[in-house]
Amino acid sequence: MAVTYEPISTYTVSGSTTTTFTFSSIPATYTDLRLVFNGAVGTASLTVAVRYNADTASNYSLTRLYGSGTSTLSNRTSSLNYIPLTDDILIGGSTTIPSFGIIDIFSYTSANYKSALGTVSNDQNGTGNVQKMVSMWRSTSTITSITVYITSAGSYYFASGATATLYGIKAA
Amino acid sequence: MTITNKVSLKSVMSGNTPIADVVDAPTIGAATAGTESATVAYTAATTGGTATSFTAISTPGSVTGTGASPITVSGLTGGTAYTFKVYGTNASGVWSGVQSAASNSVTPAVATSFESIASASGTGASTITFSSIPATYKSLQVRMWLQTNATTGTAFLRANGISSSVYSYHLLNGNGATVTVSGLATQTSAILFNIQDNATSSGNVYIVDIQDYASTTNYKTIRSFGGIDLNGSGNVSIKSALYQQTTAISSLTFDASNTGGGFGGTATIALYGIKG
Repeated sequence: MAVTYEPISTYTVSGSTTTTFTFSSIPATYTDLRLVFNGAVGTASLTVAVRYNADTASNYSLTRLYGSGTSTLSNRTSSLNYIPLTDDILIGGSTTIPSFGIIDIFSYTSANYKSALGTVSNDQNGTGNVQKMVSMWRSTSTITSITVYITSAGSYYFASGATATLYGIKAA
Repeated sequence: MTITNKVSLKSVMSGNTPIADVVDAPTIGAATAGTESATVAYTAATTGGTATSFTAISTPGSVTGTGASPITVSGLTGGTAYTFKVYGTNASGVWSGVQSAASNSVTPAVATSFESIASASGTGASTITFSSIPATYKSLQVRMWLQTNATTGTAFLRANGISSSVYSYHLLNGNGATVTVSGLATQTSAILFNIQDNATSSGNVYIVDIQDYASTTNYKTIRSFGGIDLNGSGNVSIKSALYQQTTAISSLTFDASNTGGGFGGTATIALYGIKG
């Protein structure tokens, strides 16, 4: 059987001035993509998000299940200009407690809109949340780049050591 | 004794045993990357002595493989670029010291435990079945992008073609406004999937994991995570199902006969095996 789950690229944050990084020139040879992020941000309650092909328009949307530890909810956000990768990261502001986010992007080379499944795992020893979400990017373009960035304006940076790895998954 | 060239070597006797001619350098062919391995093609020289074996040697690492063309060189490091040279050895275990030119550079893939088994597209079929699933993995994963051939509907999953009441499942669902839960015992299928109609550019996406599918002693737990977002509507769900049979799962059937027209041509279902 063919080996099909391959790392395409890994980005590891060094220093304390990184606000964004991009996986570019993504090969079109896979069926699906998986982006795995694990890291912290040097301040409280921020969202780490992704954009495809540097599209900053409001072409993204999501539906999610959310558990806070005391309650559950389902909500929806339409016409966003990003997709959350992790959310409410670092409640409390610690730079040593990472938040873990995964996005599975299906059929990223197809001529259809792009659907993705996201999982956020964010426990802060007393606070935090767990999320499952489905998202859509309303574009028929092949995804050739993914930008990971902090959505909040201001001087917010990834903590050193935060990592993101992009994998390619290829069907038979 | 100093051997200065192959002609002098040919005439040398070691006791009563003649030493064979040394082998000239072969002509290098294409190197092809594998998974933590590579194959190296070559053409034997038409001059010099007769080779009884050929060896490919890597740079970096000096990892070797021996055999007929193409030679397989195993034990390479995935993600590292390699070139190779080939040399021949005669019956006396002597080689001329002349290697081929270097091959093209190749980068072997990193070995993983996640392998593709099969995939299928829609084309209007009511059912898609993966049969003869090898029992060599620890678990299975199915990744789906679903669209019908006509109107929105549902599909369901069955194992080993069994449609009797040997399934049950629990569901946690969010529709963007409310969360609902349900659980149903004694079902005739494992998990229901929503399928988007073909009038949009969107599809439902699901990841299904089946643990210990090859067990012959336990029931099989199946989980799925999926949904669809349509920029104003949609749902996301987590499902856990139980296949109440101790026989190994050797086939999986996805049945979209509840939809108008079955699976659309853009629907894709891919089956993967995960080693334990």
